[in-house]
This record gives sequence, structure tokens and C-alpha cells, in this order.
Amino acid sequence: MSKTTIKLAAIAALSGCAAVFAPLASALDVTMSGFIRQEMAYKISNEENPANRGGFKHQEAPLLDGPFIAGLTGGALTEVACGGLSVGTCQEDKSTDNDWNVFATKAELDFNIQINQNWTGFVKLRGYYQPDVFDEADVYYPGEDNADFGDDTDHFGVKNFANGEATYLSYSNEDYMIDIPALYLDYQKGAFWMRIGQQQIAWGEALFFRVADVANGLDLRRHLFFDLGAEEYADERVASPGVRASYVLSDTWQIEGFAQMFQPSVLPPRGSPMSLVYQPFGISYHDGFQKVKDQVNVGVRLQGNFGDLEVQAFAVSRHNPDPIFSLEAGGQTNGPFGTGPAGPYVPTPGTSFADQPFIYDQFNNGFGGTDGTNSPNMWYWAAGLAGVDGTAVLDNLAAITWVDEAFRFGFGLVPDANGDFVTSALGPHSITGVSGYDVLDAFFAFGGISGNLGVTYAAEDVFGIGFNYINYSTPDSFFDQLVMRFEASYTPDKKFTANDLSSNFIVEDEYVFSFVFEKYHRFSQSFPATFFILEWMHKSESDLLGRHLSGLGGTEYKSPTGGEEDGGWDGIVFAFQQPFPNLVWRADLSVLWDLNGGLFIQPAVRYKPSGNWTVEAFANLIDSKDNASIFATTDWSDDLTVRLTYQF
Amino acid sequence: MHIKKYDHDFSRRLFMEKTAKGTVGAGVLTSLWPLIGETADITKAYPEELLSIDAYTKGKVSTGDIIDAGNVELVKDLLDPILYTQISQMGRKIRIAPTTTDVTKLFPKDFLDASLKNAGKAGFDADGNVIVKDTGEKWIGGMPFPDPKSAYEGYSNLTLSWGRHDTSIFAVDSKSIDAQGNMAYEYDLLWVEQNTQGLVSDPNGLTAKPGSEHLLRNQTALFTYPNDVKGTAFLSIWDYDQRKFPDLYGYLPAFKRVRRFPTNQRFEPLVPGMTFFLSDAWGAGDPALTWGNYKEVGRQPMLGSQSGTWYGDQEAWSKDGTLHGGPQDNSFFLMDFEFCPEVAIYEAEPTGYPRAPIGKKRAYIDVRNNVYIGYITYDRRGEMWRSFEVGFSQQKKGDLVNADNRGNPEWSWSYVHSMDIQTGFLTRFTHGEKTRSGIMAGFDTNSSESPEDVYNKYLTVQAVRRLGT
Repeated sequence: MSKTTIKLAAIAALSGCAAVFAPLASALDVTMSGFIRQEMAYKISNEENPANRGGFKHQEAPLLDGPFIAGLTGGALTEVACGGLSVGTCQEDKSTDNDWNVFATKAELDFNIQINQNWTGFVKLRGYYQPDVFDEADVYYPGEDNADFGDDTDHFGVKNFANGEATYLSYSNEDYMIDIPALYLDYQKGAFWMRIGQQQIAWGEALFFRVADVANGLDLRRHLFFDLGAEEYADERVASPGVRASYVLSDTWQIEGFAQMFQPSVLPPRGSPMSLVYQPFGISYHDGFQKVKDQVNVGVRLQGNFGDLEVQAFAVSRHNPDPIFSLEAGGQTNGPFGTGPAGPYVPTPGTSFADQPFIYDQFNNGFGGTDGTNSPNMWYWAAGLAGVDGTAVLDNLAAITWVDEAFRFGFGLVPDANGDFVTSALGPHSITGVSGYDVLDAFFAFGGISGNLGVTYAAEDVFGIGFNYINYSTPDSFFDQLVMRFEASYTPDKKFTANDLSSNFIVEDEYVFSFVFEKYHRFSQSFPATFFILEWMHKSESDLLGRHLSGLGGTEYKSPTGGEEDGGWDGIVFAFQQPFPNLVWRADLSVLWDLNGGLFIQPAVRYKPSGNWTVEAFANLIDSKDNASIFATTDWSDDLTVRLTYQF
Repeated sequence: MHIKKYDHDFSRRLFMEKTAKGTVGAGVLTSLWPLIGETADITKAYPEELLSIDAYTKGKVSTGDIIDAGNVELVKDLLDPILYTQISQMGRKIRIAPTTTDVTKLFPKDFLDASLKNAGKAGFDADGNVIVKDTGEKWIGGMPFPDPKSAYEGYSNLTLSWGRHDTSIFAVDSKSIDAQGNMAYEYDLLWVEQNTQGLVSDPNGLTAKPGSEHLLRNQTALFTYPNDVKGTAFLSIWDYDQRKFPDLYGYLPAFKRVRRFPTNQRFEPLVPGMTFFLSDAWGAGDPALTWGNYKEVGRQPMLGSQSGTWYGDQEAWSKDGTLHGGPQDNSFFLMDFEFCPEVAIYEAEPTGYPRAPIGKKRAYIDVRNNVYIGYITYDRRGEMWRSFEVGFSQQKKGDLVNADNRGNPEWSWSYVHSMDIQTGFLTRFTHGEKTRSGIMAGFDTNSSESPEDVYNKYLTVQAVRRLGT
């Protein structure tokens, strides 16, 4: 069936609102279309997601162990055998073996509504069913999700809103989500246009690199951003209620603005196949969002056309939809220290272990859990993966009085002139000779730890400019009709997650720009033109994922050096599309090169044998040199994705 | 009564002579266009043999006959080669309609009035663009060369005003049939075009849109069905200077925004499975001076679909009830074709597109109204490739009339058969009453919406962004 046209005569039932709706209600043409799609991303690597328990590097591993602080000498790096030790001393093997990154059925229904000459409407319903085909480790983590032994992962459970949903107009459960990414009315009269309702807003001309595209965040719960490259962020850009309006001032100029309810980006939930965040951390999305849920992002853009040259300038005042993370109090009162250690000192009254962010897993069950971080090397490995400084996190704990006193009086540590109790992962402190490993070793004596991360959505202003220019040259020469696009933005006092995960966020001015070259070139008379795009993006302070550069590059054995900060982050995209005659077949190649040492290659083929059916297949091939790369957390996820779509 | 001395051979010899000389206007017994200006009747311009299929075939074919594989050889010389192949080998049929001798039925009224009013005023500037030769102004409306003396003049008639209305909204039902007769691809396309020069609908009004004097037209192609292309839109802004490529803005649903595109790739389908290229539009889809080597290669009577193809009595003006032929008897519309007494055959080459897959195009121009009743492109090897056969008609059927605001029947294209003869793929267009999403077809002359409304609604970057979903 290709269409359903429904004549809704006189929706008199709305008579109570007649004054408002009467002009709209006489007759509506409603046209429905949609598709149903099976999408399957089959893993073609043997690696598992390192953020999840089943993919941790350390499985059945003899953890680095040793004496407590008092017996430091040479002890910290002593490996002890796993067998025969009690749970909590050895990392239990909970390796998983997954075949799929995605195995989902997706359906969309679109309703186009013609109301009258000036008003139209559009509604999009989206359903996504992700059956549990995943091999998940049984884990115990206290935290926001109240996960427990054997609990299945809630694949869509990011509880921003009070109803437990991540986005506006959404309903989800562990293995499905239904949402309404578009529900809006358009009003157009003369040179004025206004769109009211739930909507996505995309600005800018650079593809994939988001310079001017700052209105909306991304919902990464399905296949992260590894969908078909040619679709950019079509499925990810997250909608929210708002008003968007534009006015054509003249043939040369038009102005546009929006005001839109704040909607955070949505990261894959804890433990889900494509999760990016180390599983032992529970993240308080809800609390973070509740502080800003009533905020409205606003933006204005002016565009002008001067023949072959087009220009734009924009300004956006927003809360950044991408979360800033910081550790928050763990609140554990049933841990090994109760309300405070007895022995060499008495903590300051009113302080306790509960003030600091970490939680000993299962301590109340009489043993140390093994699902969290269990050893110094795990600590530093996880910190490196996350792009934070493991030493700084440890040292910054001393900002909490209880920990400060524990360091000083429990462990006998002394801060140096900078106030640091530890200064490197393995290197000795200048006064005490103690390393980060040493201190952590003591910490893990009571078992594995998990923690709580708080979320902040910071206010910021983004200012930008852009232009595009079409170059004309000898017909069919390579430079003929070469399209050049440039965009740049400036965000003063932009806030980033602190390398020590404290709430003292990094604050710096950030510059971002992109150069884009696009070209359609016909190489032969028998094939349609090949589309090429070459993009270069530069960010002065953070990488493509928004992580501050100074926190990148840490490893299991060292903290980041901050070297990645020098020169900013640079990425190159190269892509082409080669349609075949009649466009029934199309071959694509997309490459994203992170100059910090990462590569993403996506060859793709699209086959459209008839109007109703489309088959797409693409491979995601991902590699990272080290933890400084944007692909450090995803280079395990090479997959071959097949999408079979029937539209109606 | 017509004089029999002007027999079939006389006309044929005269047409050959005209083609050879290259500078002679239309008409056999007398010049056609002064006659049209005086009486709108062509009968005095042609001998009887050129006014009736009955006379031309000496009674072997009559008005009302169906032409099919059994009798197509009788009219083979009157058909373009792809149409002939479709009838002789693919089961297509056409119905013979009477020849239209009242030229007012072959035009929208305003456009014909402007063509007559401005006849003889057109010339070319040094660059080859059409101007008012006495003043140097850009063209002021109607056909600049109603009686073209060259192929380039003939093509200029096509290029300067595509739809022969100042503003046109076409609701296009597109279906593509594969070589096995399967209905493979289906699209709803909204095609909106608005001239900014040569405006004709207000005889006392301006002939150019203020502020857009440097432009020729704005045009938007918007797909409204099916789901995967819905919201895909391309806005072309044509410069008046026919040496320049249009500015092209596109909205692709995946990108959720309007982006600017290069415009020199005009020889590929807009969407999968469609045999129509942007370059094919109106037989003159590219700026005229990006093509070259225009020449007339023949002149003869032909069969063309110039009347009786508006199906205003059918739901959405559908012609699906006439489908027949092809592997599954569902490929072609059964349409009326009439005997066109004089058809000029023009060719041109894509000199501005060195890698174009097309070697040349050939348009069959009915000199009565200077529209193309046939159009064929050839590949670089010189092999026949694709047709773009269009049926034009007054929008009148019996007492049913789609009239303009002054009561005159509208006139426009009714259908397209575009066939890739090398692969057997066929795309059919129907000029429908409205898209399935409810957008009505119409013209500035019969719409409640003003041209400015249409411009704002469909023909700006803002509009393309809004129409995308």
C-alpha cells in the first residue's frame, strides 16, 4: 500500500477550542507513509566493549597487589596468583562474547497534514525494538540504575525526565523505545515562516563535523554514530519542543531564529552494547537535567547571497547538550570504614567515608566485589580510556576532608609544594616516595569500587560565521564547480570535564573551524558523476567527542601528559559516492582520520531494486593508535551492518 | 476547398528545400504566422494533404483509428523512431485525433496573445541571449520567435518560457516500469516554476519581476512520496544569461538542511529508477548557450499528441485506465495523436558538458505552437538512447473545463513517456490534479494564490527548508 489519505471532515469535537482551531478544522488532508527496517550490525572483531564488564581488559587476571602503604618498598607491583585467593583479590573472569552490535527492528510512520494555505503539520512516530541478543556479564553495581546480579541492561534507560525517559515525547522499556521525533505545525505567510512544536534544527553546511550545527544534541542510544555515513546525524539529532522562525528580508538576505527547550544529548545507557562510559560508574543524568530542564536555548542566524558567494553569521545562547562529568559523593555508610576509621586518627566530626565518591561493591555482603575497579592498573586503564587523569582524580580526592585526613593520618602522606599527595602513576612522590599505584593499592585492599558521576549542562554562547563559494573553471576540469565551504565558531569560557573529575571544570575559550571541498565529477560517460567531499576540522581545546585535550593519552601505566593539547585537535573526512546508472546501485566510501591517531573507514553499498525495497550494507572499520584517539573507546566495535528496508 | 496540386510530394520537396535553406518560416501555401495572427486558423497555410491524416494516407488511416503493430507501417514516416519501436514491438497503441486547426487551442491564451503582440521584436545580443532588438531589453513575453528561422531561435522559444505560464505548479505522478513490465519505482513530484522575465498574464503589467531582472526563472522540484525521498527538494535559480548555470540549492532529508550544490551534473536521474534527467525538462532543461551546434535536420509532417489528453473527468486526472502494452500490458497510456502538418526537427550538442553521456538531442517541433511533440537523446556512440515524449492539451473535455480566471481553458502538458530504449526502462509522468499529500496543481491564471504567494511558498531557500521533513 502506498498511501492512506484520510479526509477528516470538520473536527467539530474540538469545538471547545473552536476559536483557535476553527480556521484549521474544516478539512485536513492527512497523508501517511513510513517504513519498517531490520538493521543488523554483526561484529567482525573478537574484541568486546572495554567500557562494559564483559569487555574489561582485566579478566581472571592476577591483579597487581602488594602491601599497604607501610610496606611500600617494591611491593606495589608484585603480582599475586589469581587462583586460591578470595574474591576481591582477583578479577573474576566475566568475559562476554558478542556477535552483534545492533540487532534491531525499526519502524517510522510519517503523517503529513495539509491544513490550509498557510498551515501544515508533520508528525513522525518512531519505534525501535532491540531484542536481547547480547551476551552481558552478570554484574553488581549500586547506582542510579539499581542494577543487580543478573539484571538485563536497559538499552534505552537514560532517565533525564521524571517519567524515566531520556527525551521529550518518548516511551521506552528495556528493549524498545517509541518516540515522536517530530510533531510540529508550520505557518507560512509571505516571507515569514514559523515552525512550532517538537522538531530538529540543523544549521551549517559542514557534514558530520558540527561547527554551526549547535542547536541540538545527539541521541546515541542506537548505533552510536556509526550509521550510514551518507545519512549524517539524521537518526541521532535529538528533537525538542521549540519555535523556529525565519523571514526573507530580500533576495539577498534572510534571518532566522529559534527558541527551543533544552534537551541533553543521550549517551548509550550503562552496560549497553555501544556504551561509552566505564560501566562501574553510575551517572546521575536525572539530577543534572532537572537543574536545567526549564532552560531555553536560543539562536539567530543571518544568511546572505552574493552570487557565487554566500555568507552567514550566527549566535547561539544555549546550555551545551553534551554532559560535563564530575564525581559526586558516593554516600556509602556500610563500607569498611563505617563512619570513619578507628586507629591512628579520628576524622573531623561530621565527615565520613560517605563524602567521597567511591563505593565498595558488595562489602555489605561480606566480600569485595570484582565488577568495579579492583586494582591500580585497572584504575589507570579506565582513566586513560575515559580521557581523564587517573593521578589527578586520586589526588583531588583529598579535597574531601575525610580523604585528606585519611591520606595524611591514615597513610602518612604529605603534600608537596603544589599540594599534591601523589604526582604520577608509578613515579615516587618527591617527599614520600609514594606513587599513585601505592595509594590505590591500599584503597583496593577492601575490594572493588564503583562510583557516581554527576552531570552538568553548562551555559555557553557560541558565535560563528561561514561562507560557501562555487568556483567556476574550464568545463569539466577538476576545479570547475568546486564548492568550498568554511565555517568557524568561537565559544568563550566553554566548560569541559575536569581531568580530575572534580567540579572545578576546565574553562577555556574554544575556536572551531572547518574547511570543506565538494565536487561532483564525471569520470566517464557511462556512469553518473562521482561525489567527493574533503573536510578538515580544527578544534582548539577539545576533540570531536568534546573531551578536553589535556586529559587524553593516559594509559594503564601513566597519566596523560597534556601533550595532546598542543596544537588542538584536527580531523579529516574524505568521502565519495559513486552512483551507478539509473541510481539503482550506489557505492560509498567514508573515511574519518583523527590526526591524534585514529581511523574510521566505512565502505558501503546501497541497492534499491524497487520502489519499496532498499538494501544497504556497510562495514565500520575502526582503529586507534592509543587513548588519545577519539576512537579509543570504539575501536573494538568493527562491524558489518546490513539494513533491509520496506517502505510504504 | 483545397487545391489538389499541392500533393504529398510537393510538400515533401518544399520541406526539404526549407531545411536546406534554413531560413524559411513555417507554412506551405502561405506563411503560417501572419495567418495565425490574423485568423488563428492554419488551414490556409497548408494543402489538404497536410491537414488530415485521411488525405495524407489516401484514406488508409482515418481520424479515430487506433494505430498498433498491425498498421503502424502506414504511418511509420510520421513517428519518431522510439515511438515507432514502442508501437511496432512493444504493443503500444495510439489513437488518431483530428488535426487542430484553431491555434488558440494550442496555447494558453495569455501566452499566445503576448506572442502575437511581440512578434518580430526579438533578436539576440552579442552573447546570444534573447533581447528586444530595438531596445536591448530582456525579452518581454510570449515566444520570442513564433516563426523561427533557425534551430537556435526554435530552442529559444522552448527555453525562455517552459510552461508558458508565468507561474505553474505541476503535481506529477511518476511511475517507472522496468523491462519486464514491473512497476518498479513510484514518486510524487511537485514541480513549481515561475518566470521572472517575459511575464504575460497581465497585459498591462510589468514584464519582469521587480528585483529579479537579472533572472529568468525560479524553479523547485519537490518529492513528496515515497518515504525515503519525501522532502527532497531542489531549487534552481536561473540567470537570464544563458551562458550561466543556474544556482542550485538542495534539501536532503538526511542532512536536515539546505545546502548549495553544483549544477553541471544534469545528465543523471534525480532519484533511483527515473529515466528523466534535469537536462530533459521541457526539451530544454539546460541554459541554451551551454549547448551548441544547433541545426535543423529535417522538416516533415508527423503525428504528435497535441490535444485530447486532459483527463479532468478522472480521479486526480489519472490516465491509468488507458494503460496497455509492454510485457505486462501496463506500460503505456493510450493517448490521442494528431496529424501535425509541419514539424521542424532540430538537433543540438552538449558542447558545454564535455563528459555528458549524451552526444546530441533531437527535438521535433510542431511549428503551429513551437512545442516539442517528440524528443530523443543519443549516446556518445550515436545510438538512440532515451525519449521524452510529451502530450500537450487544452484542459477541456466535453463540457468539463479547467478554466483560467477569465474563463479561457487552460493549456498544458498532460503526460510524459520517457523511455530508455537501450534498457527498456520507462518512466511515465502524469500531470495530476494534486499530489497525494494534497498540494493542488495550478497556474497563476487560475489560482487563488498570487505569484508572490507561490514564490514564498515554494521558490525560496526558506521554502525548500520548510518543505523538507
